[in-house]
Amino acid sequence: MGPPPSPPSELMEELVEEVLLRFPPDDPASLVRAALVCRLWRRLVSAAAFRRRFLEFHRRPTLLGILCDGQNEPFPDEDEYGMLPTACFVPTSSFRPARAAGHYGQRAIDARHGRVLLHHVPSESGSLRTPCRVDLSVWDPITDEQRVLPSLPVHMFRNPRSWNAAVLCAATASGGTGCDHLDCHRKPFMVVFMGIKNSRMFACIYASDKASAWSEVAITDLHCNYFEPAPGVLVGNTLHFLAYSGYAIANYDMATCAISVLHLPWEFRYPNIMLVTTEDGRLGLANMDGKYKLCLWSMEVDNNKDATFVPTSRVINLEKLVDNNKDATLVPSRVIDLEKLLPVNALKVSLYLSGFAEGARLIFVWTFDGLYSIDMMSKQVKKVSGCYALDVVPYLSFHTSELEATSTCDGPPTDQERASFPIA
Amino acid sequence: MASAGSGDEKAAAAAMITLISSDNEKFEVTEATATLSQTIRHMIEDGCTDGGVPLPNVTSKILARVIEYCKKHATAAAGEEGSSSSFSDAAFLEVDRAFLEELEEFDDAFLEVDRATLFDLILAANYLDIKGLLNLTCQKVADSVKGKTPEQIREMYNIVNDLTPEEEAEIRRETQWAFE
Repeated sequence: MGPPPSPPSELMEELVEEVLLRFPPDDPASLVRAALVCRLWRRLVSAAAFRRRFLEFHRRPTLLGILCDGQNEPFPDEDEYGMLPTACFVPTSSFRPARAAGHYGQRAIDARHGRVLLHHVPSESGSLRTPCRVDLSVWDPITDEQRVLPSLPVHMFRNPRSWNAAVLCAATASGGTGCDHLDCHRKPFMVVFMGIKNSRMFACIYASDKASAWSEVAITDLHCNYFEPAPGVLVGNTLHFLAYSGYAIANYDMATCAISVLHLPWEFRYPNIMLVTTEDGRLGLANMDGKYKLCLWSMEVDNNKDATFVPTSRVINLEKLVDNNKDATLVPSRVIDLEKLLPVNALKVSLYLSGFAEGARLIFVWTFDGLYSIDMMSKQVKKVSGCYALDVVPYLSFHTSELEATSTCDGPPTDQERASFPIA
Repeated sequence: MASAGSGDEKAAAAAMITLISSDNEKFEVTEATATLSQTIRHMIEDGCTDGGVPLPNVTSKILARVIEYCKKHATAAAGEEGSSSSFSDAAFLEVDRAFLEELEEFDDAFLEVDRATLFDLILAANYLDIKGLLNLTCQKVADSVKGKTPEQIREMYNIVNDLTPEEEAEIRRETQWAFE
């Protein structure tokens, strides 16, 4: 009793879902187009369960775009300097934020867990005359929600480089186990702000679900001159920012609410270095050795060790801070020779480290030929078209929340639905 | 410990299993090959493979291809176990890399099939619960519609559009960014 000749195979519903799960996360438009194929496909991709499975299947958020200072536009009316930054979203995927025009008068400071931290640059900031407060807001490019944070009452922020800040999902502070950050767009977030007043470092936190104001959570005697204007890096519960106090990294541990400083050897100096995370999830550094060699270092901190790398003149300044003041031991982990990876045209002038995408392990390098991303693992090099900015803030996320919108109605319309969606 | 492991493998490799396709063709395979299928693994564990394993959902044509895949990947799995942890020096890593490249080439060539065969392979991989094969074949279909319009996808896979023009318009309106 042989089977009849098999008719052309059609996939069962669960197998169509298996196929849809494997759509590329860096092309979110492809899933939206899939919703237009037929009712079954639409129903599958618009289901909450599918979106969850999709996130879990791909696990790592993808690079959807780059935030950078776009075309400067003349400030209307009075501003004598005439230029304000515009935080622009340069897409690297098929995702396009609703607000395509960019945020005029704002600068992207940081992006993490699907949110972007913007700094509203006061129009006088170019002159440094009256930098009287710091206004921040958090924007989610996917939901297009923007929350303006209360101003920091900072008469002490005379130096515009005397602070840095990071945005993150609020679940991170509590140990990070509560959220995988795959789809936490509308959940509470927090902003950690590190500043310097009277040359001492402090940290403040804004929690979107709790406070209507900032709360100061830590202050130390640790000295610091200023923060470098590069986004921080999150490793476990700790945020790390490049700072200047000698060449250093300022750390804020959210679990213990403690601030600490790591001193770097002299050869690691901004802007020739960038904070990164290593393959095994530790803090690392990237620097350029010579013109084209990108070196990656992983940091090993020995709590009992003394200042081996800090030159003598600096040690004197820092002597009384021994407890909280550690030295970083850097272990070289790999060297990527960009001369072999980048096109000749890109190598005409020195390369510049532009940014790092936490979670995607991509390093962005500014070249004569535009911005390139380098995958730290595979060494794959890609040109980021349309972006010529020096400093960039990569935006990583999943864009599946809008798939919900494809679910106009489920199943064949009932008479009632026909009545409410009259068919011409 | 390592030698005990490889001893078990040899014993497993020696045991043969008979698979019977829907059109009654018999295939002799090693247990190591057959157990890439979770479905068959469970049957072996339950001791119900004597006299062969009937697979009424899989034709001989497709089963032959599935076995070809399993043979190749069973060798790969054995190779991986053999070279794990204790031998992680550069020479071994080099060998691993060469082997992985060869495996990739095999997979690419394996997928050079028509649409009907590809779908049959997906159905078989699903029924036999062979994760690697299911992943490989579903990814192939997903890749094939890359950059395609809904119309082109329907045409490629003979899908009937049962959305009303109004529903289509509504989706396009809600997700305009995806069509720019």
